Parts: sequence; C-alpha cells; structure tokens
Amino acid sequence: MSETTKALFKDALYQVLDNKVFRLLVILGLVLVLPTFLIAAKPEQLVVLFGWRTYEYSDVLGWFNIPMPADPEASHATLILYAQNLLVDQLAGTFGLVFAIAATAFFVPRMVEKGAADTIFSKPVSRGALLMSRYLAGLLFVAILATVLVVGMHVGLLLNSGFSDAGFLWSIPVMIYKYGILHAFSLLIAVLTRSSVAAILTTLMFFAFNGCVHGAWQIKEAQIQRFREQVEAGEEPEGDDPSDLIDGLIVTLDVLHYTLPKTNDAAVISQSLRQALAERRTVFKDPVSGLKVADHPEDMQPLPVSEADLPVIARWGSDEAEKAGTRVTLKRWPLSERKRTEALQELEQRLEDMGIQQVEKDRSHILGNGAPTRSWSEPRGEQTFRCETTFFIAKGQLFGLEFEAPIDPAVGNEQDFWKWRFREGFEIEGVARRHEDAFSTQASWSAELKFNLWFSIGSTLLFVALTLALAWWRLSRIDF
Amino acid sequence: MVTSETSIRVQGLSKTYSRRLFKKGFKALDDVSIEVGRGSVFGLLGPNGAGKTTLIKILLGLVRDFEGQASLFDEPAGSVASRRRVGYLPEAHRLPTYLTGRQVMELFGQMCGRDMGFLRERIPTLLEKVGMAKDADRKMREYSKGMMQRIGLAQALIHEPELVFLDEPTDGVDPIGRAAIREIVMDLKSRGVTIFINSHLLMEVELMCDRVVIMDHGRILRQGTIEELTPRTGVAEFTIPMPNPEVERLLAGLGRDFAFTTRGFDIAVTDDELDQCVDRLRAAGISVRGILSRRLNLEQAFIGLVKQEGWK
Repeated sequence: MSETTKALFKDALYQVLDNKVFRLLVILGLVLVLPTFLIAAKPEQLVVLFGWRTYEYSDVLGWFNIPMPADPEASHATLILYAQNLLVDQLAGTFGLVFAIAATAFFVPRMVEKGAADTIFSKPVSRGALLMSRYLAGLLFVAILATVLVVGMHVGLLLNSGFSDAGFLWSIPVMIYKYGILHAFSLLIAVLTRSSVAAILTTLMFFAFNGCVHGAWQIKEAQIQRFREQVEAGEEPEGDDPSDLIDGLIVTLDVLHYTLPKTNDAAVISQSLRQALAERRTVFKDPVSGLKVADHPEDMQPLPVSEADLPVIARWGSDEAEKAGTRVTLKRWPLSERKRTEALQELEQRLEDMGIQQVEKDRSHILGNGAPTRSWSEPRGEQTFRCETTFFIAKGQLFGLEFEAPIDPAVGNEQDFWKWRFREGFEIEGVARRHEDAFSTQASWSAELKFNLWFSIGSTLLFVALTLALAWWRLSRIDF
Repeated sequence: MVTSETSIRVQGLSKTYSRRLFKKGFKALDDVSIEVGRGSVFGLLGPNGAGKTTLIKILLGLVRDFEGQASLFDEPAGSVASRRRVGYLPEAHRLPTYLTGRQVMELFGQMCGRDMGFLRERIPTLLEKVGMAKDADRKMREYSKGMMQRIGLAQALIHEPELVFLDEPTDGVDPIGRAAIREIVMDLKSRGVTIFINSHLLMEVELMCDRVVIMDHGRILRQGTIEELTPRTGVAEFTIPMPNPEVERLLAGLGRDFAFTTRGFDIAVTDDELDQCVDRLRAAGISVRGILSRRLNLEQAFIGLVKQEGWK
C-alpha cells in the first residue's frame, strides 16, 4: 500500500471518528444491542433480566401479531428473526441511513470550499483519489456503525440466548451496499453544488423517489402476475387487466426500474444471503412443482405413495387410536389438464351424488393466492367424518389438499389449528406466501432477469460507478 | 545559493475565467512570462485582483484551462510529478479541523509520498522551528489564526520540497512569529530551496526577496532585483556631529530642498555638487560622519508604479 493510500485511508478514518453524529449513532447502536444481553430468547420461553420475568412465546408473538411457526420449537427463532429484521433492516436500514446521509454529506463540500481546496488539491494526489477517499470515509462511517449493531446483537444473542445465525452478519455488507448507492449520489450533488444542504435534500428526495419507483414497479408486476394466474386457472379475474394501464406509465416504470439503483432490493438481498446459509427443514418435496412441506401434520406420519397413486403425491395418517382414520392427502394435476373451476364442480357434483346437502363454501389463502375450500360432514359406518378440500394453484399446477378426521369432541378446535399450521409449512421457490411479498419471493440469484439479484446488484453498481465517474469528471474541471 | 537552473518557467501565460450565467467573464492573466532561478527568493507583488493568486494556482494545478506555457522543474505545471517537489502555504487556508497539528503534518507528509519513519524524525524538528511543539496535539479547531499559519507553513515544508509557494506567509502572525518565518525562509534559501512569496507586506518582501515582479490587471508591470526596482531619489543624507545653523549658509547655491534632520541634514544634489558639499564642510572644519544616498523604498516604488499604470 503506497504512503498516499495509507494517508487517504487514515484521513477518512479520522474524519469519521471526529464526527459528532457518528458518536451519537454508535451510542444508539449500543442501546439497541443492550436488550440482547438482558433478554434471553430460550427455546422454551422468553427470560427477562436473568429470570426476573418469563413469558410464553404464544403470548409474545401474539403481542407483535407474528404468526406462530409450523414448528413450535422454532418460536424463539421466529421472535429473534423478527427483532433482527425490525431493528437492522427496517430501523437501521432506513432511519439509520438517513442520519448517515445527513452526517456525511458535508465531506465533499468541506473539501472543495475555499481555503481547504487550495491546500489539499495542491498535494501530489489526483482529484479522483481525493474524491474516492471521501467516498471511502462515508462507507467507513456506516461500516463501523453496522458492525457495532450487528456483531453486538449477534454476540448478545449467542451468549445470552444461545442462538447463532451466521447469516445475520450479511446485514453488514448489505447496509454498506445500500448506503454506498446513496452516498455516491450525495457525492455527485455535493461536487455539482458544493453545498451540504443541497446534497442532503437531493439525496433524500432521490432515496424516496427511488423507493416509490421500485415499489410501484413491484405492485405493477404483482398485479400482472396475479391477473395472469387467474386467467390461466380459468377463473374470473379480480379487477381489470393491469396491462391495460397507460402504456407510457408501464414503459416509464420499466425504464426507471432497470436504470435506477435498486435500494429496495437491499432487504431482499440480505434475506437471500441469510437463507443461502440457513438449513431449511423439508419433510416432503414435489419434484414437479418444487412444493416443499416443512413439517408433517401434527401427530401424523407420512404414508407410502407411489407413481401409481397419482394425482396423489403425499399422504399422512395417524397411529393414535383416537385419531384413527385421520388423513391428510395432497394431490396435484397440471393446470393444462384440469382447471380449478372444473375440479370444484366435480367435487360438488360428487357430494351431491352422495346425498350430502350441507356443504360449507369458504375461501382461504395458500401461498399468496386465493384458495376455495369446501367442508362437509360425511357418515362412514358408525362414525361421522369431518372433511375439507382446498384447491390452490402454484407453478402451473393445481393442488388439492384434503383433510379428513372422525368427529371427536376431544379433538375439537385443535383440528383447525394443526390444519392451519400445516398449510403455513408450504413453500415453493418463487411463490409468495402473501401477495405483498410477491417480489421478494420471486427475486433470487437464479430468477429471470427482472427478479434476478445478480442483475439487481450489477445494474446498481453500474449506476454507482457512473455517478462517481461523473462526479470525478466535474471535480477535475473545477478551477479553485 | 542561487544557481543557473530554473525552478519556474512561465511563457505567454493567459487565463480568462469564462462567462457564467449572470456572471461576466474576465481576464485574470494576460501574457505573463517569468523565470525563477533555483535557490532564489522571488517576490510577487500587486494590488488586489492583479492575478497573483491565479498565477500561483496555475503553477500548482488548482486552476486549469489556460493559454501559454507553465512548467516547474521542466515538468508541466500542475502535474503530480511537479507537485511532489512543491510546498504550498495558501492565503487564508483551512486545514482539516478534525485533525491535530501533528496529524495534519503526518497526513500531508504521507500524501507527498513520505513514509512514517521519515515523518517521525521530521515533524518534531519542524514543529520546533515554527514554535508549535507544545500545541501540536491539539485539534486544529482550537488553534488561533497565528497558530494555524505556523502549522500551515510547517505542512508546506514537511516533505522537504525544492520549491515553496508562500501566499501571505506572515498574515495574522505576531512580530516574533514573523521574524521566525523570515528566519525559516532565509534558512531554506541557504539550502538551495526556491521560495516564491506573494505578500502585501512590502517590507517583508524587501527584506527577503532577491527578485520581484510587480503585477496589475493580469499583466507584469515590472520585474527585477530590489535595487533595480528602488531607484535613487538624488537626496543625500548627511550625518554631522552636532546641529550647526552655519551649514545652510555654507552650502548656499548648491543643490536644492535643503532640510535639517535629527542627525544632520538632507539635500538633493548631483554627484558634482555632492563633492563640493563635502569640500565646503571640511573647509569650514565640520566633520562629515556619514553620507547616505537615499533610495525609494519598495512600497514607494510599488505605489508609484501602480498609480502611474492606473492613470494610463
């Protein structure tokens, strides 16, 4: 490393360490880290202040309106992941970055102001290198803060809760990445205007505008996809065809989305990197659709299924005497062969033929899409069975999920609870659990271009490089 | 130690600041040519807006897009290679307030390619020289104007440059500090360092510089040695033992503008008349202790020249 490079790095570090907002943010970061040392999220319950108070996860998750996971033993992990996401991705990743932008926006204006510029630009260092040292100072600013927050929380959770999620550490580079985009833009404005105020205001406006553009683009994509799926399923689409929106609007959104840096994707990148490290539990995987089931239905075991059983692809049953006859069956048909409306009509016709008059119709959601459900009671010998069939669509396939269990007052509402939790364990890569999550679910390293994370990062870095090049070009032409 | 080598060579240099929206363009330099020999102390004088700072900034690469030629040590002016051999103390400079005086010197020393081994030896010596050894570890924001100026000078010299530009080096410095800076300049000169001084304090310039250029409105009005720029006034300043009213009568008919002074008298005379004055005084038994042929000082010469050009 040359002496000049060392000097510029040291200068960047000194500049950051002397910054009052930086010191304040370090303290705030430590305040956020502190609870991880005081509250232990043990697998069985939440322990506050080394045993002073304890709380059940069903209560705690309920307070925050967080769904219980399919596996109750994963409750503490669910709560921790929620807290990490809230504090790091949401709080630090948004408000923290706004503070960081405001605190570092003066780096370049102060360097180019009269008196300071004469001294520094007369040194045998290129203007480009000096500009990059200011860029580096900003990155260091956020890197140190992100490290304090993320590593602090990680160590706290490890020591106090015995919980370790190495993937959480990916939040550090992702926060630097997100800030790096905005800092490059701030630098450009600072060079053009030589004003900190202009740099702060314009960068924040750009941040908000950028967020709106990508948010609108994601909504547009989700609406188009939803419309197509409904048409493909042979159903009456909800609402008008989004493709009928003004052509100009769609083209503008597409152009802006492809060219602007994708700040919104930072959270998705962070999640994807974490998932890449995490081992996901899967008890069943359908090779055709990619549908995964995280856990067996409660108190049930998988039953053997062969090719000859198609359309049945998975089946579970119970060994317990009081649950004898309880079955969960998963069926699959290609949508090209069987539409959902046809499947529903056939079921209703069969029930009518069986003389079952009372059929309850309902509509729930599985994997982010509407899933019509039919429930009925069916006498079988001396027993009466409660049956339920739900049809849902994903990846060009129609799935039928059937529950049947003898009516037993001892089972009661619990029956509904395990069914719900079992459905929560469904997952297909690229299919969102909620419609609002359509983008984050589809975006991945291997997805098609518009959802591809490599493209997202590549196009963003290109934008950053062009922005810095423009700032360097302008700086090199200034007469001090 | 002035050598025949050239440190600065400027030929036909012109700089016009281009017109901007709501701003008129103007010509800051107009066909300026100068040469500064290695090891000399060169003074640049001129009223405000004369183009002095623009000239220095072009030489240091702070101002670009000029016409003509400018080089330092035969390297194009403003190039990284030429800047490596140059130190600069700008007028009204601002050093990074987040650093201490010592850190400023380390930073700029390393930026000029010097390693920490060299700097650890060099910094204490320089701090001592500029009288900042005690305050070197305080943050720049705590410094007074004079202290800033001293550290500014030290940072300009940190990498042992061969050419130093000093823009108003004594600005804000107390008399003791000014004397110290003069001493440093003379020490640098003795080591063969070329010094380029831009100052409004003409006394300082007169005391330190070998050659001076006087500029106005972007043009060079005059350049030369201090002697060449400060002509004799023709007034002879006589020193005699005690006030003697007889002297005026003795010298009647010789010269003009006779006037008594505390040490003797002044009289404007030609060289022939000066001899006759001495003869008459000696014949009258009056001892002549000293005769000084009075010259214009640099300030008088400068004001006279600038006013004369301004009236043209």
